[in-house]
Amino acid sequence: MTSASEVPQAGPALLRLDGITKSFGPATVLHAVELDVQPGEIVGLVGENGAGKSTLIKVLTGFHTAEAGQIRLDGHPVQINRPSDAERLGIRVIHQDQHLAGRLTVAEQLYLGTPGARGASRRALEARAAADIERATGQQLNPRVLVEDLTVAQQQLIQLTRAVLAEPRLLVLDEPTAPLAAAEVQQLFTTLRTLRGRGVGIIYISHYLQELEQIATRAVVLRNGRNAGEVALGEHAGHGALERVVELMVGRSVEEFEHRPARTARVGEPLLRLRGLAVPGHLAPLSLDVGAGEIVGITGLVGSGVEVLADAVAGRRAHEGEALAAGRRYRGAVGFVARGGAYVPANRRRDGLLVNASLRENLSLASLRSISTRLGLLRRGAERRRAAELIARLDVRPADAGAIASRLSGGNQQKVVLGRWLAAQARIFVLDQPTSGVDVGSRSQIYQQINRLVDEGAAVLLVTVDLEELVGLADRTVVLYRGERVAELAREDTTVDAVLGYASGASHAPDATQEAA
Amino acid sequence: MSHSPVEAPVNPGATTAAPAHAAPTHTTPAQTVPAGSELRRGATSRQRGGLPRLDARQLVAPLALAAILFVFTLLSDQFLRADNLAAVLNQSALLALAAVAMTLVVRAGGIDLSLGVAIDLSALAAAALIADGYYAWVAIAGGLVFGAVVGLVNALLIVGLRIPPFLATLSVWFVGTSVQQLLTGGGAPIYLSGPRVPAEFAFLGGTGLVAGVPVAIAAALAVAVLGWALLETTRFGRALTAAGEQPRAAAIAGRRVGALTFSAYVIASLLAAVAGVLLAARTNGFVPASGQLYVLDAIGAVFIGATLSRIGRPSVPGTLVGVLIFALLANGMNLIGLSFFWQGLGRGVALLLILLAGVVLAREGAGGPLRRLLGPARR
Repeated sequence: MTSASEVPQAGPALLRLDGITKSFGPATVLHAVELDVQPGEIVGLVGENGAGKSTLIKVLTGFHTAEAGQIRLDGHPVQINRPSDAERLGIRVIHQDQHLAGRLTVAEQLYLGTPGARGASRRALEARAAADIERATGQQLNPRVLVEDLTVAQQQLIQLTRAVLAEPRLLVLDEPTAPLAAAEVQQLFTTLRTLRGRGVGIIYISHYLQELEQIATRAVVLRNGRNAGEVALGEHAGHGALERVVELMVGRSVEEFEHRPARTARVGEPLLRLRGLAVPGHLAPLSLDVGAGEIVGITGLVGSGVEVLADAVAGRRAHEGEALAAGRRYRGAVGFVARGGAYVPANRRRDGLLVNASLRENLSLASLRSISTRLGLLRRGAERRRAAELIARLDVRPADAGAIASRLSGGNQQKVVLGRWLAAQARIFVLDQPTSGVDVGSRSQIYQQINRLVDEGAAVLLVTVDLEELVGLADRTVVLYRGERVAELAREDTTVDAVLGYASGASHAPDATQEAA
Repeated sequence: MSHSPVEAPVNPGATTAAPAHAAPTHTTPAQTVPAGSELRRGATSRQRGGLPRLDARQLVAPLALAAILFVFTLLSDQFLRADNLAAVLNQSALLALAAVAMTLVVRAGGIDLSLGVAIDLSALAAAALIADGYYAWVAIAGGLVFGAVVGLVNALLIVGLRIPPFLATLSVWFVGTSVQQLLTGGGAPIYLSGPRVPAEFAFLGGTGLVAGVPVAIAAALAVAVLGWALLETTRFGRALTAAGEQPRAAAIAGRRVGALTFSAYVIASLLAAVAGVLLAARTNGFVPASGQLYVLDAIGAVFIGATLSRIGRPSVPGTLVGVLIFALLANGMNLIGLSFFWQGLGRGVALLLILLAGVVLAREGAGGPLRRLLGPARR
């Protein structure tokens, strides 16, 4: 299944990883992985979440030590036991989404720990910083601005400049384009091509396969900690190269994926309607109906707009366009909840759970009216009974309404957040990553509850990056790519391969955007 | 813990440890349901069946109170006498009022440094109105209105302009102090001479008994009971607590966080105004900035009281324990002849020891409002 690289091999590879094996406890996460990079070559490293990409890079950069295998630079074996070893050998990494915090200016951050910078005047440093950034990245950045005030994309420029200034032999970029707009992506690629021209080897990790195709000569695919294969890209690419990459990543064909049996309930009238809902800078106008008895899935990569969609629908983020619940416009989270809306946010401990409160308080929070008198006095007995019912229905452990929520496992916490909306008898559910950090047992229980809700006529908008969850639950799936709807898949067409293809930009559905308007 | 959507889009459930030759074992969520019951048992057997309800640190404040009672009973034979204890209660009634008000604000996730301004402005208004010959009820109403205005300003700054409570109320405190001095011609006290004081006003100031209890104590008790009921037995109190502890989560659950916070500051300043009117009646006049003495004691009492809760949540009963600790400590130190100057030291050490013991005994770090107030900024 491996199509050999067609890059001409003159002399020893710049980097050759051979038989890299790494375990954490009983789990082996890398099995004899191989990777080589020629001087002046950009190699894409791709794979599903947990395929071993990050671990491999951490071995290469000295954060982890492999149990077996060899790292060779220019044909000579090297030992990389700590990050400083890697730096000394000229290996630099630009990490994904690495926040440069602190009250440093751009210039200070750029030369932090750089020997030559000591003693130089502030003004001289700033002039040098501006020049260095422009030379290294082709973009401009005010060197006097505080780093914490920069966008992620601008912070990345500092990282990139630092890496370029170090004159690396090998540069590793981990998902570098996720925070970038299209023009910035091209700018980054220009920088990378310049580096490539100087003979720097580049390992480029990305889920944005379409972009990978523009910049990399081949994609090395990892799956379950092993080399799954390699696909030539760019000028050497064969027909359907990206589809082949997706296939290698997923490691199974469409037929192997089974769907949940169709629900008997018919989709009823639309309970949630989005009409041109847009979040400027994140999400292009999106129109979508979710009917009673229907689960509509939404997914996409970082930067696709999924990360803001749930907040916008639930009234927690300013947006353009209209959102209607049960046929009526609503404003803000209070309006959403008042119209029968329920929001299970992705950040459970900050936005979902009252971590410092009892399960009883958590379960009652969205439905205080139903457990209090007209004068606003709580009816303790009613509250206790209902909490006990919900705890039993959701199988929350410990089954103790007085327990403090922070002491529960992630799965049980999520059941409590969901239970809060069952108590409120909500009909429109916006679930954002409902099973992230949830153990397998609780996960299936949460799925059961979601299915039950839908059978009882609820409308569910399922925002998730867990594609198996999507395939298993969603009646329809909308895929976002860089803020736009690129596909809407019916249940029978929803497969991990198909969704991943659209989400990564590898596949195109030409008419999807018209449909969205 | 920002959520990172789609670090990688696919199936975190795919196990990296699975042998690669094994056929794909992925199942859809619906399919995993039957297997779930077994897995679930495995996952939860590690958890404790029940959780302890009482933490050692919850006992620190009551033990401190007992220790103070014990030590001063040994050191002074007047300490434990009924008339002395009654005097202590009478003197601490106004602090209790201020501290209950503070409890409300801290419960709402804030702090009110301007509580003393509310006390002072209401005392000033009441005293000035009496001095001008108005009826007692006009003076009382005027005092309450003036106090409530302070709370309104706080609420507007904090909810409307999103200024952090500490800074907003600090500003109001500065301004309020100045306002008092300007209104009183540079801080000259207002004295009400005996004949001009209406009987109703004198009744509030100490001559009156409600069911055999001095008015101030009765008022403090009534406010404490009402405050407790408001926080613990009503929808409002429940929602306010959630809004204070986790504003984002409360908002997502459909609670009107802004309105709840707003009302907490207004109600607190109204309660402080009650203390202000009683202060004017008790002192027969108005001495500028006298209400401000209560603010820091009230904050101390609230945080001592919060240690009574296993989750560090302030409550009215806890606050009253804090008030009693301060009041008995001051009284005892007086009785054994330690000068006024020693009392701040005593109060500070008591507060520090109780909070320290709470931190040391805490299971998972000091949570709750203390951390919220003193810890790094959130958001």
